[in-house]
Amino acid sequence: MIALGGSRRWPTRLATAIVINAALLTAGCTSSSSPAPSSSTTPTSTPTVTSQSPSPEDLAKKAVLASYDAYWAAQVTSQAHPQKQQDPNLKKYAIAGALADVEATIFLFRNSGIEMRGAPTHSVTVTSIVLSNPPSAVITDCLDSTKWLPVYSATGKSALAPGQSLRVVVDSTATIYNGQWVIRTSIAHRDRPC
Amino acid sequence: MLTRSLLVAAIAAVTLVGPIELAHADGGSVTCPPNRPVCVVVVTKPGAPGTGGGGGPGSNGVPVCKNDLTGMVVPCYDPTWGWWSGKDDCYYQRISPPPPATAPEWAGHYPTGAVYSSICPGVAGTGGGWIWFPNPPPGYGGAGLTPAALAQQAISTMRLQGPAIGMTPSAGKTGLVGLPVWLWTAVTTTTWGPATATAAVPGLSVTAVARAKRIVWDMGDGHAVTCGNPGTQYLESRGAVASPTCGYVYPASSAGQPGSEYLVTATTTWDVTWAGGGQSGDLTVTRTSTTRVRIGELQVLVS
Repeated sequence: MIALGGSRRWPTRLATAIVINAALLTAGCTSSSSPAPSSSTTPTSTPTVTSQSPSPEDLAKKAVLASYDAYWAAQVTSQAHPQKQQDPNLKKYAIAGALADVEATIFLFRNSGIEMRGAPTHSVTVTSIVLSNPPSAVITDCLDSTKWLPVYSATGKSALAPGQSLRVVVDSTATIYNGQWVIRTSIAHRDRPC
Repeated sequence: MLTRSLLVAAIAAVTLVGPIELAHADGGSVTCPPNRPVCVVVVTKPGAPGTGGGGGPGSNGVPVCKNDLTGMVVPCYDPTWGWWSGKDDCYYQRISPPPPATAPEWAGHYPTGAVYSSICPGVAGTGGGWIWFPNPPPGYGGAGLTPAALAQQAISTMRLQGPAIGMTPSAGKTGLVGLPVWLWTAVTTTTWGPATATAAVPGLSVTAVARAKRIVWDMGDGHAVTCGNPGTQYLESRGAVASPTCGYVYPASSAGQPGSEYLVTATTTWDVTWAGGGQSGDLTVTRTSTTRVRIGELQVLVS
């Protein structure tokens, strides 16, 4: 399980919160200076980071990230034991291409005597989110595979192809299926180190 | 100065030691699963069914579930991925609950037909995804799947091999024209059997048993030896006598051969019987292994 606190840069999330709050503050200033008297409202107390209640977008982003974490955790367990049936959480937290790409990799490993050992780390943010129908979110991740490497199960020797960047950008999209945020696409750009 | 008989014995003692190790093909190819962060090196497994020699799965004309990209037989049904379709080399499973009507995969057809999840390891560069069909794809639900086809699948899981060659002279040593050569295979499930495997899909299960019947040893000099047994492992204590079960004597040296070695090709014939789904059958498969041996002539020393 990828720790929520440990592997993500918190200044990014703080910066996101500040940006959101700045936008709300700006909107508040604009409406209070509007010349339309009937709809003007008394501005509330100045929002601060600590007392600002999370917006629906913030809460939804947390749910998206929780599913993203679970998707990757399920990949780690499934690809550590490709001879076994895959982790059921893969189908719970991923659909379509994001699911099929992982399953095809498990199929490859199962038939090639390869397994993954260790786990990746992430530096991930939800860069946009849409809470109308159909809902969607975009996730950007700098994925570090330095400690998540393929080996031949029989010998334990490395099965990693040479000359690769082990920290690459991963772009993912999410939507809601079966009452759950799920990852719909997840594409690792092996030619974009980060 | 040694007499000729002592010289022969001395050379024999030096050369007739232990079995040759089977050389494995180590060639690998870089494989980059689509959209995934790392690429791996896939190594061809030794003992994989050869394209020559016949008798491999599917060669009896029975349709099997096969990945056309790699030539490997795959399970026709997987509990997680669903049913294999030979038409496009994908596993399909109907999605339940169905995706919402707004999902793009419906492509305007909602609610007719169904959306299936697919993985397509048989197609280079694509992993699969969600796809709509008006009717179930070919092979879905086991349509057209026969007990004979499942028997082929069971055989493929046995990983039957050619002999794990044991031979005198051992690797790196030179044998002699006129001296007994011992031929044998290690006796394991995959090299002599019996091997048993079951292939099952919901509602149908087939079990197959494979037993090796004979090994044909092509000695690389135009002659072949057929043994209906796995041979006898050479023991140094036996000295220069012939194998009691399977052996050969070279009449000529390998000096004129490529690399000055004879290419020895050993082919095992496996008999397989299977039963299931109210049917049964017999079939034969062959598997091949190779090795090389250097045979010299006795050089008489003149003092």
